[in-house]
Amino acid sequence: MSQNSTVLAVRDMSKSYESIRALDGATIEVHAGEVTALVGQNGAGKSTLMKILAGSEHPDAGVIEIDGKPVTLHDARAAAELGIGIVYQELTVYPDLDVLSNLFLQRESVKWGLVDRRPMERRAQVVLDELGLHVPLDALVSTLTLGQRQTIEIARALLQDSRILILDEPNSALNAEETERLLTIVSELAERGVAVIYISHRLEEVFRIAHRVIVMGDGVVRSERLISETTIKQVVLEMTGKEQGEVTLSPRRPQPDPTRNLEFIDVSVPDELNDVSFTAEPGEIVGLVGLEGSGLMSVYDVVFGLTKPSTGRFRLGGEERAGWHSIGAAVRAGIARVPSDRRKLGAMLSQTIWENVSLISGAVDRAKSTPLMRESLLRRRAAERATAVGVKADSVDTEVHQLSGGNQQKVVLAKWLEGSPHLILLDDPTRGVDIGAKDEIYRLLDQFARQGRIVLFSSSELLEYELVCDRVIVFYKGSIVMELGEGQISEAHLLEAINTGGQKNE
Amino acid sequence: MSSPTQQQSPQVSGTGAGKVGEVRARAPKRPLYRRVFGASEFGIIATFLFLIAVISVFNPSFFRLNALTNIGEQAAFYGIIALGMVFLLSMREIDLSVGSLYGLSVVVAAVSIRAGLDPWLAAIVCILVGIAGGALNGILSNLLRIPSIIITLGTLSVFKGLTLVISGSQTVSGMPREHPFFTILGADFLEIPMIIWAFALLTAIMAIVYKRTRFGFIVRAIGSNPDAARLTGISLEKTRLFALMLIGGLAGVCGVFTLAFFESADPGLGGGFEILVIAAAIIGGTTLAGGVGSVVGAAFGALTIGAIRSGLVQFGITSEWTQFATGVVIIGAVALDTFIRIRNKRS
Repeated sequence: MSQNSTVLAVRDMSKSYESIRALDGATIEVHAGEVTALVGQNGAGKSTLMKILAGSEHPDAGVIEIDGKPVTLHDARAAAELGIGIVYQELTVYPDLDVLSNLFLQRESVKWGLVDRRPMERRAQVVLDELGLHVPLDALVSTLTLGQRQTIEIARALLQDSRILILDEPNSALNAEETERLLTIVSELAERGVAVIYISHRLEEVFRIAHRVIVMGDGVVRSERLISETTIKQVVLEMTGKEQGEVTLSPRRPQPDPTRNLEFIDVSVPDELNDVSFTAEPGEIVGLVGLEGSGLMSVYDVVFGLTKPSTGRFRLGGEERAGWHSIGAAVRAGIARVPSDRRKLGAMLSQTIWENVSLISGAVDRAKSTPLMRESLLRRRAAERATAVGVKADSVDTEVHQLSGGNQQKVVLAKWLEGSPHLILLDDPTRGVDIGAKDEIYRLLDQFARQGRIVLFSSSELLEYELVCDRVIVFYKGSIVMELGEGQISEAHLLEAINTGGQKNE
Repeated sequence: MSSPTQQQSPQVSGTGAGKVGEVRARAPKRPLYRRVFGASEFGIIATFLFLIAVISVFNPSFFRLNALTNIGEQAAFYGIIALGMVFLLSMREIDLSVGSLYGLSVVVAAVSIRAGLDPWLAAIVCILVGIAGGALNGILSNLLRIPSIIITLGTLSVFKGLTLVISGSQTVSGMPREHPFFTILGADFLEIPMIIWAFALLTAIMAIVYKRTRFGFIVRAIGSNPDAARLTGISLEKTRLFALMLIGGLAGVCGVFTLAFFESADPGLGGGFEILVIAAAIIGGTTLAGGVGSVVGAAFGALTIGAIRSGLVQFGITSEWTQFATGVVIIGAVALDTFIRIRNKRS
């Protein structure tokens, strides 16, 4: 890394989506032969910036310069031709095509109107060797590991002669070993003069491979520093520097009760959980935190009857069990699960509010329902529930797709409350919900706990744990590594804990 | 597990609390004309009435009870089965084997009567064959984890083959025509054929099942969002099984009236029925995307197809063209419906 010339510059970039300013005059410069890390919380503007550089979104204002010359990125092809290669967080490989077809899709060598594999194979082999990926070029991508697929994506970008390579959380699906391999590749690419933009939540990786770190927040660049001149602590502070949420909830008092609590006893699920034990008492909100693959979602799956543990049991309401024979059994036993993907897993969008809210009491729970539905009763109850959780709608005849994200989520909560759950599992309950509705949802969670329910909570926004939880249990690689009580829960502390597994790293 | 009882008032501070509006249990009643024109069945009923009117204007003799019951009688055969198809399509499933299953149930019943079984008992056998066929579809689909469209594509052939084997590819005749089974079910009641009465009654029952029962509710929930329904504790497998048994049973009921009416069983019976059945449900406002459907709409969808078929004859168009015209109407009706829906969404 000799030359420090600026290859790519983005100046005063702004972009709004309806009323939300995703980018608000952001300026960044990227240098050849360097890894520039881009960090920031969800909604900081990173992904909008990347979409603009990929040519899939167009800025409202601002200039993109490559080698000092202003360019316009009309579409993905234009970006690729200018040497910008992107590896997305979600894999974009085609599993049913072979390796070579994936590498050259839409840029195949053609001879006599037919695809000519020879020249492609020669070029591909060179790049795959450099990346250390040893797989047959005619192997179907579906037979490869996630790490190998990710490497294919990088190879694809390199085969386009990308001088600027953007990696958007490239290792969110990779295991530790594959991550190591990836980090080595990224460092080598930079040494060869590629300008790398590395977007990641995992700060310790950033500090290992990046030369520069840019912190974004609220659509602007908060800071830009050489990695040698900053620390993880400093970066975390800059990331989270904004005012904390406005809600303050008064302390709750958990009601420890072995006949009504949830207790995990040495639960293991192959490749996901090792000997996990913890308790959650009625009246408390227990946060579960960890990176993707840390196993915390398996805890939900076990409790909800989606996964059977290989060893261990859990006790709920004084009864020990190894699992449920169906989700319906878990629901009837008083367990509610609010999934993160509301549109796909939570709400029935084309149905009305009352139909959504009545699903459990009207259909699933036979103790509460009748074969011939009492519609007026269900409507009345749905109306009461919807009012209680603060759904903003005229009547329960409103179809759910007409509501805002926050109101849709409240309908999902109302549905679960109709089942009178004793245990509520929440996964990112405020995802895609605007700030005001977030506060209302926090209050609802608080209310659930005060009603003597057990609440398990997880979120991709670490700040929320501090606002909502009484205790936080930290998962790392399938094990519980830490438990944080009141006063210890801070965003910075959690960020460090989930990334390092609790080993101090200054 | 007991539900939590202690209820403390939440002590929260912050902004935004208390500004909660009340959600009403029922939308305010819209004016009558809006309710009539806005009903999802309005389009298909209007289309049907319009067709009858047009045909009658050009051919006044058409507008007589006789001609109308003719349409109803024709439509009832596939219309009764279409009532069940509404449930399947509403939950993103389909049954392509219904025509074959209908034919099989009639042949099995006819063969049993010829072998000396009491026709009333044979009627029960007929319905049971339908239910069993539906159950087979459901069990195979659930056990093998193969979509119902593929399983029933297979059983379409299987049931047809069985029908041919059992009947020896011959029309099964020699029924005791003087038996009350034939003289009652195969005849008219108040000048209207029994099968039309059955069609009307079943439409009413199925409409209630679809709109007002737990089963119908679950079916619509699954069609609206299968993943969410599953995560709420609904068993997709059980519901699929029941829905397939329901349509099988309806095919069997249809078979009973067919046998009573024709007093014989043609092994070719029910060929191509699946197309008419699906078409009736779809032009009646049931979508393939699931979640939305109408039993009454499907009944009028069947009547509309019947009206087109007899209407063309009235206009002197040869019967060779009826199949062609039926296809045109299916596409036209659904296109119109989609157009209206998009317009409504925009406004």
